[in-house]
Amino acid sequence: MRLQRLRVEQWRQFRQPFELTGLAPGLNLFAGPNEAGKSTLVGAIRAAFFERHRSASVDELLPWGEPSAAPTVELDFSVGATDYRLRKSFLHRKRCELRVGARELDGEDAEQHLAELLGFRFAGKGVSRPEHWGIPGLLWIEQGGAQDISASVGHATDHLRKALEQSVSEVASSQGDDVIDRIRAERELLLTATGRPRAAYAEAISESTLSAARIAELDGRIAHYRDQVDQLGRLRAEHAADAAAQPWEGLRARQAEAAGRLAAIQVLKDRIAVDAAALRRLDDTVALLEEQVTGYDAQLQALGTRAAELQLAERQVAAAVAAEAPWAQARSDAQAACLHADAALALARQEDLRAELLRREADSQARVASLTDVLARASAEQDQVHALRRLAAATETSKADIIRLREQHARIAELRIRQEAAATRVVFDLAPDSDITLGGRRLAGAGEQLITTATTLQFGAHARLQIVPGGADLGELAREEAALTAAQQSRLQRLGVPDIGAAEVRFSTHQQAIKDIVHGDKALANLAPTGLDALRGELAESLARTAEARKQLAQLAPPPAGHVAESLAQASALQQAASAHLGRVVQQAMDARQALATAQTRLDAARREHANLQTVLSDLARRQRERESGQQLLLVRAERDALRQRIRAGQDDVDLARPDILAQDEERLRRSADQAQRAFSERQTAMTLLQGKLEEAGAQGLEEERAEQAMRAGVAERRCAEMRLRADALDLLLTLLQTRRRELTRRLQAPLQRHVNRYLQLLFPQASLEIGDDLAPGQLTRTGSQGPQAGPVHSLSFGAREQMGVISRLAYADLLKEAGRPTLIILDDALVHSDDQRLEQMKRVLFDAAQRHQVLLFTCHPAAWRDMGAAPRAIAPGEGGMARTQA
Amino acid sequence: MPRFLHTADWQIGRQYGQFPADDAVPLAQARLAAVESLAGLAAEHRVDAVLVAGDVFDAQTVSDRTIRQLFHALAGFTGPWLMIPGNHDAALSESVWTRAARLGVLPAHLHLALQPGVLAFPDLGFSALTAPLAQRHTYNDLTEWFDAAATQAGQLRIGLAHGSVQGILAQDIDSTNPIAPDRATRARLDYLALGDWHGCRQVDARTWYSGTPEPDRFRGNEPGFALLVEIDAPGCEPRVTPLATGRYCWQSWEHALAVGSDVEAAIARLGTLGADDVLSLTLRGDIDLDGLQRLHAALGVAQARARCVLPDLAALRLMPTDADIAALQADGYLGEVISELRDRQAQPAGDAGATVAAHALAVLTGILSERRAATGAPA
Repeated sequence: MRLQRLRVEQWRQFRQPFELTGLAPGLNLFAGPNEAGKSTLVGAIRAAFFERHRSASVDELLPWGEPSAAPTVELDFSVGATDYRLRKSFLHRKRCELRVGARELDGEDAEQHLAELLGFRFAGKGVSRPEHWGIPGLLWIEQGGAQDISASVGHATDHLRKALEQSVSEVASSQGDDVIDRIRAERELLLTATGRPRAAYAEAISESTLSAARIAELDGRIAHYRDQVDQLGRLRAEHAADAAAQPWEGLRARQAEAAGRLAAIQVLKDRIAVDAAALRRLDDTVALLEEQVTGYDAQLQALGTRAAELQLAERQVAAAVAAEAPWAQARSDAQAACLHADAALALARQEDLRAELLRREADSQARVASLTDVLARASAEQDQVHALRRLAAATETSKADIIRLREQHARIAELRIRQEAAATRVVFDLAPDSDITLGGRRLAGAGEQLITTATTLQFGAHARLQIVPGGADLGELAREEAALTAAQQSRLQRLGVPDIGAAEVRFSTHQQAIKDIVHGDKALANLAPTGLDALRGELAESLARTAEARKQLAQLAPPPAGHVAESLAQASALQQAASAHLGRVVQQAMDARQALATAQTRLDAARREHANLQTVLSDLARRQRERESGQQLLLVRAERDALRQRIRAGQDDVDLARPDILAQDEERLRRSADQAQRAFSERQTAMTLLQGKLEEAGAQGLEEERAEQAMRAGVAERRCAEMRLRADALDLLLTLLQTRRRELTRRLQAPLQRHVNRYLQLLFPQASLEIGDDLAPGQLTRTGSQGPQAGPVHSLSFGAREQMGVISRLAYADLLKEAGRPTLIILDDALVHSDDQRLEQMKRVLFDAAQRHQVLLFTCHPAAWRDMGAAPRAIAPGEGGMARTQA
Repeated sequence: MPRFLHTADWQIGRQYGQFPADDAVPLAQARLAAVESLAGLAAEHRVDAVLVAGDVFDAQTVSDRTIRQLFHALAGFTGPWLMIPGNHDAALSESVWTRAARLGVLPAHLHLALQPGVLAFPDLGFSALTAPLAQRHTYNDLTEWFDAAATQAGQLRIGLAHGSVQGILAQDIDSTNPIAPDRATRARLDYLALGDWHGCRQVDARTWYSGTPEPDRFRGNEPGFALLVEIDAPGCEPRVTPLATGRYCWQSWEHALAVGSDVEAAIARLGTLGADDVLSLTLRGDIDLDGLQRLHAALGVAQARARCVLPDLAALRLMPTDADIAALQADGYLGEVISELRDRQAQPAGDAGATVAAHALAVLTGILSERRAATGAPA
């Protein structure tokens, strides 16, 4: 593609028409300062192709402040041998005209033609965005966008691929993509993106599953039906067998037999009961008879007993008579002895009294003498105590006064010592004739004198010294002493003593008197504890006793002469022994008489009883009765034994027959018979019920329905299998086709790689740049000082990325060119981040590319591109009239 | 001279699950129609009685409607019909027979033997000894009592039983419902009419399986007949004449395709099918694209003309020729994919991957053919 002419009008800052003509087929360099309009011209080219002429979103094309303008762009270009002229007006005059050789296209036809020619798309709505730009988006590098390659490649991939495939048509498939689309669409009818069944396929699976479930359910019901039929058959067979055999009849017969045996046993038991009653009566009779016979025997034995008893009684009477006889003599002897003992006792008592009276008299006499003496001593003691009491009263001194006096005395002494201590000491050793007085007293010899008050020391008449002792309290002490002395004097006066020594004497006298009084009182109390008057009474009493004793002695008979009286104790003992002996003899005699009487009575009774019994036994009728009873007893006993035998035999029969078990047998057989009959009738009911159920189930035609269902299930399963096969086949096809297509794409990338390397060698010798599946540049491998180094393009520096971006785009352009696609390369201020060395290399790259493509290079640094072999053309808008620049 | 029409195994109520519903319904209806045509034959040949040797019904629980239809179909012959239950319709305590009795559809001229016994027809000169099945399966020979059974002198003794004659059929070992092979001789029968075997088959001079009157399976064992039995007098050997009764002709074809002419032969054979043919067609081997298309076309025609065609092409491998591929414009990687699929389908038969690959190949060539047709490219 070769752009020949560009003209804009009412286009942003190009309010006036601006035209570029005579563009070269190779490199074209456009220079201008910032905001001169370079990018505006590039934008005009883009808009001419990308923006729909009807678009209302291209206000930015308007010149500033001219809202009613109609921005217009006009391009002349050729592709191959075909010349094109495009004229496009926006906004207020929306128009698009394209001349293709001799053909005229306008409006959307023209735009569509352009899109197919260059390989881009139009925006559905609004302004055209990068994703619409396709191949031009890749080759027309915007200001500052050279380094950002992957997005642009992404938007152009389809177009590139098409181009690639065209360039290697011998391995591509003419209808592969359409077939893939078709197969993908077919697959999507059956499977979801993740490969799960959907729509008709899912329905077929569901239908098949449902059918299978329905068949299973029907199978269950059919099996149940068959079971019930079998059950009915069994029941019918059993019923028929029972109806024929009637098993309960046999049971009833056995039950009746058991009942009969039970009844027979009952009869036997009843008889045993009757026999037992008879036995009891017989037992009573036997007992009665035995009692009678025993009675007769007892009477006979009693007669013997009575005779023996009679003999015994007679012997006892004889013994009693013999025992009673000696007691009369013994009694009179005892009475005589007793009288003698009594007389001896009376005499002993009289002598004893006399001795006693004599002793009493002597005692009383001694007492009188003793009392007289005590009375005299007690009277003397009492007089002494009275004298002491008087002395104590005369020396009455309180203990408190004495203590107080002692204290005062001590204080006064202390005061004197203190005065002495504080006093002025006058020590003197005087010649004997010295006439010195101190305080009026004459001093002599050696000594010392204490002065407590102002004292005059008089030396004869010549000299008189006044000595005034120091110390302030001397006076005070003297005053206190005086006061105390006064108080002591007063107290002494009150006590009636001249000084403290007399007071002490008086106090001790008083104390001694009090002690003596206590001793006197104690002595008096010892002598006459109850007082002197009591002693005197006692004395009188003793005198009276003496008189009494003498009077009694006088009244006593005189003692028997010549006879020594026994002692009182001896006489008394003898008398008591005699009296006791008499009592005992009397008692014995009475007992003997009583025993005799008793024996006599018994003898009488024995005689009477013996006689009576003898009378009875000798009765004839009684003898007859005794014989009869004996015979009857024998008969009855025999009868009783026979009856017992019979009862035992009957009970054995009963025990052997086990009536409890027989009753159980009867009950068991009765129940069994009932059960058999009930089972029979229940079975009949069950059969009727089952029959009813089967009739109902049979009418449903289960097996026929199952067969129909199986038919449907077969259809569903076949359909399901077909769908599965188809889905699997489509899946397989899609996988295979896509895999092959990817492999192919990879093969197709080879030429692109070749072109990239061609340019890359100019920049980095021995380097290689990988082209990925997405056709974007991937890994860059360079040989540096440390050997080969590899890294992804996007991790390179900005400048290097820009260089790689330009190189890649140039390679794409080469590829497209080979594929016969139109190429136009536009660089708007590109490579500004390259250093001088790299820029030099990039210039070589660009120049090389310009040999095959038309390159429009816009720059604001024309000096940097001076060596590109092309003259830079200045761009400046609105310099009056139509600006026209030409090479 | 007494004559009988001997038939069995009507299997009324049978459904044909392996067929599409369009075909299954007429096939089921045909069984009933066969009974009607039997009645017609009986009337036509003025037989004394029709002997039906079991398996009248396919199942116990067929619908009431089916029961009514069957007994209605007997109206065409007013003479006696003698029937015994077989294993499919055994005289259980509750059975299709008790249901029919409750429905009141058993016609007066039907002599149904639900218990073993002698049905005497003195006026017609014969007594029938019946051995109905009262269980689905027995392991006793139910015909044993025939030996000792007394019938009126001078009358024919006709046996009627359902089961497997011991020792003559391959699957007889331990089979249920056994019948002694010399029963006719031992029981002094003039004729023993048997059912259970669906093909028409003679056991001995007096013992026959009539087979089913209407075929119901692809196994070719001479189904579709009833037997006309004529016996001159007691003791005489019967004359047995098979009468065709089947409507549908069940066929099972297998073709191995190797070369183009094999395909042509198969297509030509398909062309011979008539309206009453029921065909199970199994094709195996390789076929090219053109052959496959023509085969499909021929199958379409055959399926329209015949009662039913069940094709099984699972073992058939599409082997597109290079010319096919070129014609499909399967250039580039499409061609490679076709080659790969062709290789994959060559895996041993039964391999799931091979089947899928074969189908995938068919789909792909189908799409390509469509595109070719749409773009009007030369074939």
